[in-house]
Amino acid sequence: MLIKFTGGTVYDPMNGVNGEVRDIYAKDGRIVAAPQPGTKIDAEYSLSGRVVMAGAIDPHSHIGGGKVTIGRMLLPEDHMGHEVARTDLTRSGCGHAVPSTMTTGYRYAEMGYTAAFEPAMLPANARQAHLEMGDTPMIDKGAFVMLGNDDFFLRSLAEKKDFSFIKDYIAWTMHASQALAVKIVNPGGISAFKFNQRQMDLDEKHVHYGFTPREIILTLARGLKELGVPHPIHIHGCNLGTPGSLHSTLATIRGSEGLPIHLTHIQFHSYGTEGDMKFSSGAPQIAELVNQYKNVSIDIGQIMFGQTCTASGDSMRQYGNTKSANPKKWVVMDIECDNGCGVVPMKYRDKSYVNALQWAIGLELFLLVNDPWRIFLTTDHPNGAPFYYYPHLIRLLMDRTFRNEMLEKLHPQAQAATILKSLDREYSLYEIAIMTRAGPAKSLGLRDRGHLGTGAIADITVYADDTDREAMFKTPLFVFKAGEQIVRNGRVVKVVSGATHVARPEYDRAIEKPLREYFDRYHTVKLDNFRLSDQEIVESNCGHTGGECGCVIVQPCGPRI
Amino acid sequence: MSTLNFKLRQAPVATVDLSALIPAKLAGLSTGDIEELPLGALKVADLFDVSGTLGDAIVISGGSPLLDYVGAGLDGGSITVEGPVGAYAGRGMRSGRLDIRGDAGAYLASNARGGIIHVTGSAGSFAGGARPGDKFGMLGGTVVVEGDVGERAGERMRRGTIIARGKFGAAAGSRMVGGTLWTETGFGPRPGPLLRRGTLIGPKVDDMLPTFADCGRVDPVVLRILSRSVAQTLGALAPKALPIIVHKFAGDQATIGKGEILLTG
Repeated sequence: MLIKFTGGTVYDPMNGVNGEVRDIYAKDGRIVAAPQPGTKIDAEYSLSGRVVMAGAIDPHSHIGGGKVTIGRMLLPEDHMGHEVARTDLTRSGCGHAVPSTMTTGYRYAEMGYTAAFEPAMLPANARQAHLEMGDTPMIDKGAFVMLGNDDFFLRSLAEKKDFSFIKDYIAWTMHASQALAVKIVNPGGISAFKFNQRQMDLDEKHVHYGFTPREIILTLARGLKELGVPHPIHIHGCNLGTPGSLHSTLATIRGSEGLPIHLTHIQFHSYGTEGDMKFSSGAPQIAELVNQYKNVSIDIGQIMFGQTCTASGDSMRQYGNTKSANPKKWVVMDIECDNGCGVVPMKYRDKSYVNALQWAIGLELFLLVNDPWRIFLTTDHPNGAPFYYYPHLIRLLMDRTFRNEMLEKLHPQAQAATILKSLDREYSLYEIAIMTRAGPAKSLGLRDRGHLGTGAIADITVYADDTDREAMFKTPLFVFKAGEQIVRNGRVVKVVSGATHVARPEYDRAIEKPLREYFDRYHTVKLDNFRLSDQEIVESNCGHTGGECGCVIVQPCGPRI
Repeated sequence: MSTLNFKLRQAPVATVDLSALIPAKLAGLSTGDIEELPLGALKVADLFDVSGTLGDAIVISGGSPLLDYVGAGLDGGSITVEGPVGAYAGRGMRSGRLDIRGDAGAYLASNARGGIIHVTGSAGSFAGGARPGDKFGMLGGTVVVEGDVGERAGERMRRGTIIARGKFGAAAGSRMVGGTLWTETGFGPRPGPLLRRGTLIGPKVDDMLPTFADCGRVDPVVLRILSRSVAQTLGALAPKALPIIVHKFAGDQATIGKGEILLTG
């Protein structure tokens, strides 16, 4: 079936198309070159005056795995008043900060997103995470597996095992847990927490194993680079949310030795200790260094005011945050001695100095980092805000007047402590398209996503060119997934499953021998049961590659594009 | 006083949230506007014939156990229901008066902060109780139930009074933090599990928990004050004044034990 999208204003940064009026053709789920004149067009959409972009990609959103479920169980009040009734097409659900899986999928699609990636999947929780993501319809999914706090890795590092041994272990874990990339959360800190350390800086030694977070980060960054995993090591650094975290973040960037690294929700790691309140913005220093180090990419983790629920693997820092829990209840737990988990409900208030400044720091970072290819738009759903605040965030970035109006409502001292008012930058649609489509796709190694060139999957979002950018990005006119119309006027019109993206670097299977011994001795499950097979996360061996029926897509490993 | 009437045309087939039908939310709307108000998937006009003029009083003629949240959030004015209601009636009510001429469902007056609720029939479980996610149950106000009350009345209740002419079901006053449960007939089995503070008053108890300590017969002054205050608030609805001397049990000793069960019989 040949579909023609006629006359839309196209923003496709991967192919350098900046607001040109173009026709796009899609056949059998993929974008194709213009056919011979006279070829029969099966369907045509006239998009004159409309803005056309590839489907948006969220590179960091907690949509699956144990902690989201804990958040749902912890917060019945998050469900009440946020019920979503079933319709003929969609199923019922509920939730504001931690919506149910189905609702998550529908809301993403209704906002023009066609992919979202779960950034903190514990190997021991991979099965749960994939089952939950399998229940998240409409969008493509994938997960980053957490390493760097698990005992096997730390032991290997402490025993000074051969580097290839550690590389094999990384690759084995990615295979076993069906991951697309590797994330490290508070390097060594979650493990150190269990040895009663309550804080751990970049060069502070783990009391038991004796090495520093710096060594862990470099080992993993180098390992992933040598394995050819497309996405660089996804780092949730030391000292999340503490005043002064700025310094460990700067040190992490400086110490990256040219290895590709991605610093996630960097807003939470950009706090200084200046001023009367001993809490200040470190955004200018961080942005300066990010601009300078081209091997670094970041996503922001912007906060928005209102009720949400923070969910992180970082049990050390989340334990520290429990005193700010609102409502006053929280869960911090160990999971299978593998990693940690901390769920703390949070209400960000614009009248609070700290919260207001956090909001401003996120925006400062957005506006001060020059290269949109290395900065991605996230709220670290649900930690900064639920993901469906993105349209509001986009308006804040694109509309200086609106931004300054919002700024004036904040805590007066916070207004004085931020340079936000002096930042005139306004993002263009082209830059937004980079930040929400091309950039994440490139970083994650999704070669046929995030752009509209020939051969790409026909994941297309069409917006009305509204001057109110919030309204524009909130209700896309059409969303197409693999050439099929799934959303019209911001409502789901067809339910699809979405695929799971994984990366499978080569490794030496001999690693299974010591691993099997380790599992037999320490784990609650056997190695063979730990491993997650394809059949568990897909419905059939269909041979599809476009995610037509919720299948697995293996992204090629190799040198970065 | 002008009255707005909602006449139920036919019993609903699924639960309906009626929290929109309180005077404060309807103020300034014409009858036509009110008929168009959404009630979940339905509109007001799908269920009710609307007549009369809006003032302080609302009358709902005909009831159903599927009408939830009747009078929820009521702050001033009165609502009278000629029939039974479903769950969460009077939830979060702040002031005013809710009259239910029939039975009420579960979670009657949960999270209510003030006002008077009168139920001529019986009330369901968790009357004055905390819903999952709530910190506390009832936080103030007075509830009078002519019939019996279901299980676990006053769950996590903090303040206020629930008076029943009939009997309270099992585990009345569970995890209660404050407030008063008062029955003229008696308590069901094991009242007051994990009762922290708060007062349970009644002529008899079916089965006393072993974690309540017998304190003998006492004559607290507060009983006279309570009887007088309730008589003042409720007028003709008030129960018979309490005797001077009651038999006190203190508990629940499994927690801080500052609560009491006072037997008047």
